[in-house]
Amino acid sequence: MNSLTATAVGKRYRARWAVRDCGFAIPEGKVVALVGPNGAGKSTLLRMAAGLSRPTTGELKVFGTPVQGRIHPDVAFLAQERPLYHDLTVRELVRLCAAMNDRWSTERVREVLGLQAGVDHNAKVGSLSGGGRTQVAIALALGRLPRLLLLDEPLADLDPLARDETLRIIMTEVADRGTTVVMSSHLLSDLHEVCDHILLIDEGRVQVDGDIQEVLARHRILVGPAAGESTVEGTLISATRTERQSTLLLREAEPAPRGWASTEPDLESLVMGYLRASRERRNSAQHK
Amino acid sequence: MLTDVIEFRIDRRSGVSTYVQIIQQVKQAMRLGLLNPGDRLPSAREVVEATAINPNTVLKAYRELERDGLAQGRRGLGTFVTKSLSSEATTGDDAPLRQELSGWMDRAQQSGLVVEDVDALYVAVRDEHYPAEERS
Amino acid sequence: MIWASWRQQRLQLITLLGLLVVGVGAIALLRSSMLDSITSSQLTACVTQPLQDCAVPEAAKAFQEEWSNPLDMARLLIICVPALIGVFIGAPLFARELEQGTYVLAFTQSVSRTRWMLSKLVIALVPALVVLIALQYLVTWWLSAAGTLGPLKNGAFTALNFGIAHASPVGYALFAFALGTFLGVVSRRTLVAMTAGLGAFVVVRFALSGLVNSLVPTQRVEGTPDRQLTVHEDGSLVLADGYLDTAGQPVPEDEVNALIQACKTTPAGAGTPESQQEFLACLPKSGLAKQYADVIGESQAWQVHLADVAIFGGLAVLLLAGTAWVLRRQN
Repeated sequence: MNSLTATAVGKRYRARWAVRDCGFAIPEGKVVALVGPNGAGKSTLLRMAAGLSRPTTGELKVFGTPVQGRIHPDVAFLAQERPLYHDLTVRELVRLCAAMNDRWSTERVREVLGLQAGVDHNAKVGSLSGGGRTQVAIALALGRLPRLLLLDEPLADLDPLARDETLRIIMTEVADRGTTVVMSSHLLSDLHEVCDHILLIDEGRVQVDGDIQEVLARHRILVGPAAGESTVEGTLISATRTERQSTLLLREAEPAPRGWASTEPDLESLVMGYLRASRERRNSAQHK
Repeated sequence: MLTDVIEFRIDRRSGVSTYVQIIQQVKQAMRLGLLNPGDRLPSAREVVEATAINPNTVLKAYRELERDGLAQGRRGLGTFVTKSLSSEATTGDDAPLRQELSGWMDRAQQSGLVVEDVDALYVAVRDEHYPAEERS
Repeated sequence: MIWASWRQQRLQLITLLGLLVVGVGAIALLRSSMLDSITSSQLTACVTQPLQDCAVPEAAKAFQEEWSNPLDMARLLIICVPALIGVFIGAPLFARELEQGTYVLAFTQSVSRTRWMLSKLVIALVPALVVLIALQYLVTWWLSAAGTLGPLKNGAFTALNFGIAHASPVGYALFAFALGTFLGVVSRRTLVAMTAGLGAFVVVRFALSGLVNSLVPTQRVEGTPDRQLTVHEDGSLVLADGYLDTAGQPVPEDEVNALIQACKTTPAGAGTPESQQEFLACLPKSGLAKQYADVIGESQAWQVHLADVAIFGGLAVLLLAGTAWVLRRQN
């Protein structure tokens, strides 16, 4: 079963479409990197999946159930702003969330907080560092024992050690419970080591969606003479050109013609290629 | 409780994908005799706790090893090594081939070769004997 | 969920409790000190009879001078508490959640939005109403001890007395609270909701204070033009008065004035007892057959209070429904 599917999902804020015509399906058990530049629509998409805001068009489904104005019981959501009651202590906050949930494991929260250095249960939430608050918020999300974990910029304000701890906790969750995880970041480097599925969005639209290995295997970077570009067959995604040489990112490329070197792209260059193409489309649209 | 036989070291900068690194490291350990038939590979959870990588990647690497007939998953118990890749020629400090190579290294050192020279020579000779397309 | 709401409103609830304790202590002390003063000035009998019948008018006057301020403060307290409930409990209730984004935490737990909202409303509102009713009861208890020496002598319909009696304070408090929460979810700013809530409450409270009287059926009291109607003295609420012609129809006011003026300029000359009698005799002859007044008697005051509660309570229900609607659509 798919844990999260989107069908023609769009979200309009006044005149601007934050998300437009998004369609994808995330199989259960995947660890998904939701990447895209700032303002691409990542947060909007996650908030809609969490039932916090309603799509203007289309529909999101979680484990086959349409999301309608409230969070699915099997979903936990980490909001980008880490909304927590600052005047409560960590212990009180845990108790508060326990009271607001039918299915809850305070033990799980304690276990997660125990793995993280330096979160004092008696400290006021407001006195914690940004990273500390993120760790508390993640622990609270895991306390819901979710099957789908939606994390908006989970690593954004963490130092390297806390980042490693946090990833370890999330990955242990995946190993133990087979949880599907969708993590957003505007930095691909944060995520590409731990994710096996990529959802690249830009301008509110899905640019790439699929298993990372499969996506990479479908693409080729071809380097060859600028004059010979017409001999290359495949769907051109983007290209950089010098006077003599062309570097092309292609999808479903045919075997490279003579004089061209063909390699499988790494994720970084694939994403860059798609974002560059998207920016060029935007620029040319503006110039018209 | 089985103790861990090996621990994976994931190099995030190598450009080699994580699951390939795991496969390589398992095979390497098998060749060197560190992993023998019947040994249990670390569970996904153990690997994740140690290295913060995606457990799906570990499982994917293990499935690849199973496809190659090198390991076998047993439900609820873990993944176990089923085949030996070590041989007389590669195992132990006193294997004859290893001793010959060691002698060659001694001579290279005496004739003033630096490590880059040795690597270049080794790779050149290796590629003559094992052309790229034959290697897996 | 109850613990959750309690923990989040601990500050307000403790403040309310403090207010109650201080109120009970202060009013009990003041009341007993006032009773002492009544006994020592031999005013005990004057508490139950009209002031003009009081045997020791000097002492009564001194007593009133001493106690009218504290008693007025107590009445003002009951007038103000509903506004305070609206400003400090109603307005921040959801505005702070929206302002700080913490509603996202609540909305992503399994509790439904409606239940979350209801439990917050109940935990905030019920203790506030309990404290208000307790204080109202205490103040009434104190005021009744002063009897006709105190403000009660002015009747049930004077603004201050009416506003602190029966269920009216609860109606105002419900309205102020609902207004605060509604402005809170609309503005999403605590401070804006607090100030706008206070302003709007004061305006509506006074704008609607006359409306309630027209909702209760009045009685018409009639009498001869030569004697003032007793309803002007007995604390009844007079909504209309004037003269009736021989057919029993009210005479327009300028016509009344002209006729009275005409009767005053009788030949007998002004100022003499004869002229007064002549004047009174002149009135029915010139067409002002009877005096009338449309009144609500003091014993009917409860009906006016009920109408009052219905108006403000109805507004409160509408505003709370609006609050729920805005919160459910929140995204």
